Amino acid sequence: MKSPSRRPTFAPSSLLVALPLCLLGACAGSPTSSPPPSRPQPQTAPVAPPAQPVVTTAPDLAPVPPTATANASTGALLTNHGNGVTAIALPGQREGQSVVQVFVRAGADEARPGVAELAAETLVASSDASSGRRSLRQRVGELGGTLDVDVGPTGIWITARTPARSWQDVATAMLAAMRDPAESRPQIERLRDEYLDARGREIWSAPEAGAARAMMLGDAGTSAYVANLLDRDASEVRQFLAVQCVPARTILSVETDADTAAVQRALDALVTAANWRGSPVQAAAPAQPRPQRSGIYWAPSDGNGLASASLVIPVPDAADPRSADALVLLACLTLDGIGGRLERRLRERGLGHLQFRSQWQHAGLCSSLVLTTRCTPTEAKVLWQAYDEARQSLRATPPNASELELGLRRATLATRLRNASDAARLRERVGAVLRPATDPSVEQRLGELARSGGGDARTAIDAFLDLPTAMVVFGGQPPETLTAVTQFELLPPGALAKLVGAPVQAQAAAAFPWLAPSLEAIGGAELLRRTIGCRATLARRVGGVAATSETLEYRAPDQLSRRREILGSTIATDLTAKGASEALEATRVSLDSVETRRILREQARHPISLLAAYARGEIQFRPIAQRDIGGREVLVLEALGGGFERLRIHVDATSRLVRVVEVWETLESGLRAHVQESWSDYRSAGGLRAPFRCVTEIDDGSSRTETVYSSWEPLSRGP
Amino acid sequence: MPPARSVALATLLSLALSPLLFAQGDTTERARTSPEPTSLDFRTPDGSRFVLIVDPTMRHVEWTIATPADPAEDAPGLEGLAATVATASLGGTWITGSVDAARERKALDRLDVAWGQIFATKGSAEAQAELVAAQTECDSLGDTSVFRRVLAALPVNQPEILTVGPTTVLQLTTVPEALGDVSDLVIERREQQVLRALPKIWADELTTRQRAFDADPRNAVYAELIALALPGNAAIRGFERPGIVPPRRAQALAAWARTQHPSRSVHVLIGGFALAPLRSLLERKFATTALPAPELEPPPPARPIASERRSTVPGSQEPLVAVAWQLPGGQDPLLLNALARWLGGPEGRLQQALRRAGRDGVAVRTTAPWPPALGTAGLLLVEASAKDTTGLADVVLQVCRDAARSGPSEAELEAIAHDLELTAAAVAADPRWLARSLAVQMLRWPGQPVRDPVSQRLSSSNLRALATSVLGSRPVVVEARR
Repeated sequence: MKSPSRRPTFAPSSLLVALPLCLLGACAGSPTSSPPPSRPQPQTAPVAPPAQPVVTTAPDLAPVPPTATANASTGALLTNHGNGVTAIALPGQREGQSVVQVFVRAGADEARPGVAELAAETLVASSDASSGRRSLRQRVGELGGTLDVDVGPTGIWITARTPARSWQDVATAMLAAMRDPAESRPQIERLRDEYLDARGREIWSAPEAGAARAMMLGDAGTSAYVANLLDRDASEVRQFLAVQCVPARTILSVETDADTAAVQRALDALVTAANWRGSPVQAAAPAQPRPQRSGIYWAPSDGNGLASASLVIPVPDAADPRSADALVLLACLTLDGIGGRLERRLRERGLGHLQFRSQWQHAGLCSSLVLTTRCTPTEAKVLWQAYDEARQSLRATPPNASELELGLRRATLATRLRNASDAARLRERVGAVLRPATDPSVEQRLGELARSGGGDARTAIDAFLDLPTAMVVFGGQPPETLTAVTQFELLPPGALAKLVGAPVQAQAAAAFPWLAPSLEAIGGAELLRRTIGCRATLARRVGGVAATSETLEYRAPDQLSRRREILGSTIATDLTAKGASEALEATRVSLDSVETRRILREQARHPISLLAAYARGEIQFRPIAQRDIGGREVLVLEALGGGFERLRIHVDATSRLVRVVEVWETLESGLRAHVQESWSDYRSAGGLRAPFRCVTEIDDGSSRTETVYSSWEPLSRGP
Repeated sequence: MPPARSVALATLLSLALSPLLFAQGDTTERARTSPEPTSLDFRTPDGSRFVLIVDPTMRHVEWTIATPADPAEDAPGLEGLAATVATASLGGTWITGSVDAARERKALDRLDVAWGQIFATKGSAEAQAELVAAQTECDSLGDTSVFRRVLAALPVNQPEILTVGPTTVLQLTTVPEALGDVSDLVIERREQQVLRALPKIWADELTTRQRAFDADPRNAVYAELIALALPGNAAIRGFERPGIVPPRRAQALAAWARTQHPSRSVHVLIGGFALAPLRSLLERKFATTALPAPELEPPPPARPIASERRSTVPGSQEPLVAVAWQLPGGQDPLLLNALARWLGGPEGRLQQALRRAGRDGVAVRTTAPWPPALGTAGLLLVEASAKDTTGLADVVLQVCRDAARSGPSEAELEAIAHDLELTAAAVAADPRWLARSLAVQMLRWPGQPVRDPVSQRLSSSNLRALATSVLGSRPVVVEARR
């Protein structure tokens, strides 16, 4: 099988991807720069505007009024807004339900591997603590909806399914997320870590699906896919969001159970109210399609037991009518893993006992059929040969009428299933709105094939055989006689350790040489072991202005007494094992467990508290990195246990003092934020060296508080 | 398949979707009152229950058939047999997959005898030779892949058998145009079942069940709980180590007939089809059955717990306190689920109260109804695990009594309802999941009345009443110690 020079599946003929830009380019008020050169030009004719469009003007603050058009065949109403956003209202198909979708015409091909996925995750998962904006995912959940994020080589689709009454709230949230994506490095890094964790677990539990998805996005195996995500820097994500996720590349579509004209008016009003300013489309780097390459990809493991072998067979993208032909031929070839030419070849080669599990994997418009079986490494080799022979037999002996009839039935089902999800269905409907009436759809092409009894599909055999195809094997060792095997690991070693958590003890042991000098620098392990809290007087300044002064006494793990002076009033906070309350003059309120634990965690992550807990064995750390920043070496360690969420400490490699504590924290508002506390001004106090100054930053500086201690003394338990 | 200990949460939560699907009415046939009904619930002449739900956005059909696979369906020592025969059923019928049905019957009988000889002679060489010969003959006369291939050609996508709680489901995806042909094959599977490759499938099932049992230290606790709270209930066998004796062919066929009788099956079809013509088609196709009507005995009634019952399970790998209360019959499963959520979970009443009581390291899990069994009201189960469980049982009991007195607040109820609605939305977004959930639901609670929306079904008063009633009764307590 040869490796094609380009990826037919992801051919730029993808109408859905190409057409919006044509429309948008024609839109008055769109950026003055030329259309971004990043996309290959469509192979089809330029888009003609819909016949006799009904042009209306809607109130808009944008410099150029929007234009609206109606699409008679689909019943859709479309508005090109002055800022570049295209808004489409479609008639609802399901009573009481609505589907809202944002399509960004920039996908994995438009950036370095992994960037588009991380950008999409940032769009849906980032929140803004300073403005109180919850993440899009949270917001959709609050509104009783579900959210789907789909990243393909050519675009990003974010789809929400919600009760019909909520569509405007969801659309507003989507526009807000697009307009104000997270820019703070810590937040993007936190989202990346969470996304990596989720993806890694998916791969761990279903490696063949993960491999197929990785290949559709152009990675050579799961390890490369995860490594690419690991390697991405927040700045690359920010750059992608700034350059690609702009109004001129965005289509917002709504399908809901209401009068379409009214929906269009409401949608237009929302786009206007969002005040998402159109910025000139910046010249982006040319798209870099990363085609899947044919061949065998093998993730070996020790031993010669059974392996899992998956044939990964892509078909042309969902908007390409040629996919109808490919699906017919695919059914003739495999019959979903239970028959067809492949099954006959396997029987001839003595592998009739292999049973396949079939599943479709999708990434945007791309789809691959994945046929997975358990077999020995030797059988995997024979499977690959038999598959190749079966493929080639299509050319030598084209499918007969019976095979084609059966293939047509399966292709019909496969086409319908490919568009079964709300996201894919709305994507297809939007494609139908934007597609020139002269271009056939996949369903229309299936109709043509049916009229020919499937015979027309024979003309597509060469193109079908040009599609890249791969076999991915997990387990066992590749037979020595098998050449040209690309070997890979399931996950990069670092990710594996992080995900499966097996070597926790080993990691914790590895941290000891890093932290032992810190214990000594602070005052010695023995003294720290006895330190169970502190008594302190301190003042806090917010934005350079004195805010509070307070005294506190803290005893780990759950006792705290604090008196906080604010504007002449005193707030008394008392936490004990039995209860928690806060009092302002005569008014006393109970604190709930969430708030109580948040206050206690603040004390528990004080550098002295952390090191004392470490000395007592109550918390462990694992080394993360040894960083050299501007000649200053810093050791970064992450806590294992202790009730914190991703708590990391930065230890100065020279002084061995803890300089930074960072953690993910749930704030009083319920928002999750990255909290970074920078500790300095270490002084002797009660036999220890304790920091007397702390600068707390939330979400990369959106909130900044300076705390200065006028006194600090350790509280110890008896020897 | 592993023993079905807990029903998928979504199955329970799918109840929340019911109001979207069915209008008011208490007859066996219900339809929306709107001019265009979007769902039907009826029985075909052979007794099968069908639920048809139109989704105009779908151009395909999800079809799920749920049948019982409760431990009560299996003969003692043959736990998992109902699930095994369901799995084997995709191996084909006397019509589809057999070279010569008469000869294959004889060969399968020969194989059955050969297996018996293996056990009788403790695997003598002669018996082994006969077993190999019988198996070879069977393989030459029957093909387990033909039925799936015929299904694929109809076309049917992803036909699979799953065990969900006390049921097994056959799930498949097809197109509306093929529903007639698919019906024929579904009926053929029921009426002409061969149960090919049963010994191998049984061995796989047994291995899986034994591994699952060995891997879960809580099984002994669960069995003890049922012994104390639901004495005589067959559900206990789901938590005991499976035996190794294989079923005889006659036993397997009897299990098939008993569990697959149409009167015990629920079909849910969701997709883009016209209701009336499909109902007509199904009534024509699902007209009769040759399977004998099963003689069913109701599970023994749960006797109220009159005195304190406590037990300790020694030698556990995981210190654990399990407390269970009997549930009153006829309860709305959604309400039971809400009760469990109110008590359990990371921010549930129990966890918060335990934290206040200085029991920070306790992990709490609550389930209701439990265990997953057909025809049994079940229990409210609270599991609390910690490194040190000394005195924990009494703390849990006290906390539960306190919780029952205060009852749920409106804010707690709102959070629970929102949570339930979210999960319901997730289920509804996947028609295959929804079909499976509804089919299992309707098999487990066939007599449940038509649903009202979650907000109407959940109120602080009915949840408080349930909590008071349940938590005010006598519990059973089982402690697992190292």
